[in-house]
Amino acid sequence: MDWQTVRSHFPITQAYLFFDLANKCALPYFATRAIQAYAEQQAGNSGDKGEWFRTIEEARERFARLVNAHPTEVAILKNTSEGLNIAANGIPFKAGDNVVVNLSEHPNNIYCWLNLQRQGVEVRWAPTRNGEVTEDALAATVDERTRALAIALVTYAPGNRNDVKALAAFCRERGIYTVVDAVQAVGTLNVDVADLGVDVLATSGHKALFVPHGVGLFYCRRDLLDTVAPLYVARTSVVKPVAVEHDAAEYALTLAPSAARYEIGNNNYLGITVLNESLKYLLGIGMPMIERRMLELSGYLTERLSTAGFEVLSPREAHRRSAIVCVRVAEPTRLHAWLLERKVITTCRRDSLRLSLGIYNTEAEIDTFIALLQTYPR
Amino acid sequence: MVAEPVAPVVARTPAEAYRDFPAAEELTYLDVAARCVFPRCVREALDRHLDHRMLAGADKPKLFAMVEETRRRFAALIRAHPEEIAFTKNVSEGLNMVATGLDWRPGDNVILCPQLEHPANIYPWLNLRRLGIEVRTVPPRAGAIPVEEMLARADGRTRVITASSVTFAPGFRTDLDGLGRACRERGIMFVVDAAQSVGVLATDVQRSCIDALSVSTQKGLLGLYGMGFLYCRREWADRMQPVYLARFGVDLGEAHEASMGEFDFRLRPAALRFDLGNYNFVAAVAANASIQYLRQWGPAAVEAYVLDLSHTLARGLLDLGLPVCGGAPGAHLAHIVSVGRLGSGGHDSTEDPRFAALHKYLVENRVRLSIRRGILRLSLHVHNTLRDVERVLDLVKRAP
Repeated sequence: MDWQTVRSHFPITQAYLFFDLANKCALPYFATRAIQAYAEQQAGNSGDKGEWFRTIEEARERFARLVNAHPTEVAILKNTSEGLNIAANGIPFKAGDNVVVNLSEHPNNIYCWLNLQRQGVEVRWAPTRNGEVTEDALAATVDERTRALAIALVTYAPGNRNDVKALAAFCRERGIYTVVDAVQAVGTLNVDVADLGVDVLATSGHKALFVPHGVGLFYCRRDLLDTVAPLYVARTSVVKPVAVEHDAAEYALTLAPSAARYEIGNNNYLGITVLNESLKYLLGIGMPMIERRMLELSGYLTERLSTAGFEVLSPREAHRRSAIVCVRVAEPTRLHAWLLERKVITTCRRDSLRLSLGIYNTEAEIDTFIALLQTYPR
Repeated sequence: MVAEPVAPVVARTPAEAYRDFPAAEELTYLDVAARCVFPRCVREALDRHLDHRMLAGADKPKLFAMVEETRRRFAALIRAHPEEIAFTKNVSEGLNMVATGLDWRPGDNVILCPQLEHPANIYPWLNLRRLGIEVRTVPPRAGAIPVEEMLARADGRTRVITASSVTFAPGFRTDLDGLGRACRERGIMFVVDAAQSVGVLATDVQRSCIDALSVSTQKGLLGLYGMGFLYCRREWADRMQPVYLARFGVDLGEAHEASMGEFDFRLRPAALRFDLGNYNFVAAVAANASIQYLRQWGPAAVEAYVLDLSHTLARGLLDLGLPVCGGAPGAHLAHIVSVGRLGSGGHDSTEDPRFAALHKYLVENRVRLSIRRGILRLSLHVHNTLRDVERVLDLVKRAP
């Protein structure tokens, strides 16, 4: 793969060392071109809804291909939170049931579950070690009333990869739903929902899928569509088109047979237009290739940081690693600001400096960064 | 109310607004009831935002400041408090938030006029039947949502009355003030689907005693698809429990967006609790610019200008012998002029060959309009002029 060409598609690389994809992307040229074309259309003649609908189905099919799902298992939403809330409200909990979460989750994969407490659902906390929930930890937390496990495929900090395949297998045997927040994995790692054996997966477009904020993606395994019922409904989520001289009786709430049942109302057509372009781009490179490259880069960054005497919090083993590398530093906000002044974009998370990589980053950038870091007045 | 500064008054009237719309040069665009065409300022705002999102990175505080400014601007537009405004993705989401956020008891009821409501304001209520909620339906009266009949159906178990401010077809105005006041007196929540009116017609949630209002940004607000606003009056919102909850709906003080508060969390005040996950910043940038654009004249001036056009159009079509819905222009007439017989077609088709032919002729002559439920729908906004109206009337006259 010619990564230098890939790099040239991302104008941010001309101005910054951009190590912040886990926060949000900097838009590549193909994204801004798509947005400008869309805006020109809406300014000129208000755009073509038929074309947008075709784009939605293309994007749905492409995302399905990206994560090895079937298009009927994919819904396009507004963000990760919407998907996680659909799962939390759709899984048939009874009072006294419990859900297992953990403290390494992003708050958006916690509040949707805490919100079930008022229905008598108990929220249980699985112990973590450096961000990871092991199968043993899960086994020690569940009981016969456990209905769901909510877990990140990759944590937002320290960026470890949970062994979701093993956890999902454990859950499957016990009739526990596995709900995965994959926002820090999709687009950088080769996420395969069939291989992982997960039930529900939620992610968004604004990180490694290079889409502006406002697009979420949701996977629900086909045989669970009827169980995980949507709480919000609209014309777009039901089967029957609107009758003409309609009265209430004609509005049968027959949900769409696919994951489209989770889509309500007009969608973010602009965002999905960009998503479609991005997916085309990523599939063109291929996720296995991208994952290999990301792990190569995060491995290199980890090694260079360690050699330079920094404490890397993220795992070292390739199968536990992601495109995120967190470093323990004394005052992360001070270092973050110091780096920003020197045109390096990073993020502070949980008392560490988070460096998150994308397909446009290079070993040479990492070398530059390490050299710069060694001049930081500690 | 929080005073939101409005751009200095430009020595212009809404009649000159068409100059700001590139589409007005090419088309007679009478279809804002479907979606808008942008004014130039929206495109320019989007371009600036894109440059930023392409070339600069970590400036989320600025984006959040822009989101809050947009919230304030929208609040001011409808005379609400910013804390009474949530960001949504569309009208459906806002209405679903309200319908699922109330503390329903089996046997409660909701009243609506389904024959005139858009499905977006029907399904969320029908979906409550699984909780034992009764959906009471009222037929239209002369093509309009009948205020008195709705109130007559209300009883001690009526929790919500919902209506569109302007129906998507035939496009008549609802007497919001009358319905709202009566609901307020009886303690009934008054929920308004304002998809067709906000941005074109003046909206005053205080005067109309509106308790909740849902709107999207791609029609009268001159913005993008994929974003909307939910207004929810504080007295109701503070008692509501959002079924979907994320970090932005929780009161953590000034903590970072990825930080976690207490497990025993507190919801944010009023409608802020309905904010869910990351904002659609691009659409917020568009709405931020377009609302400010509309506010240069004030909602009353925009409404007066557009209603003058719709009255002229309706009268002209009647004079040409066309069956304009509602007949002579009156209090029922909004910015939408409909022609034909309601219900003689599907959601976006007509069975009447005469009107299908007229629609085709107008489209061929670069007029943009819609067919909704059998009728031709012509809708107006500030980018339209008297010339547009005269052009359409002339085309109708010459139509084969």
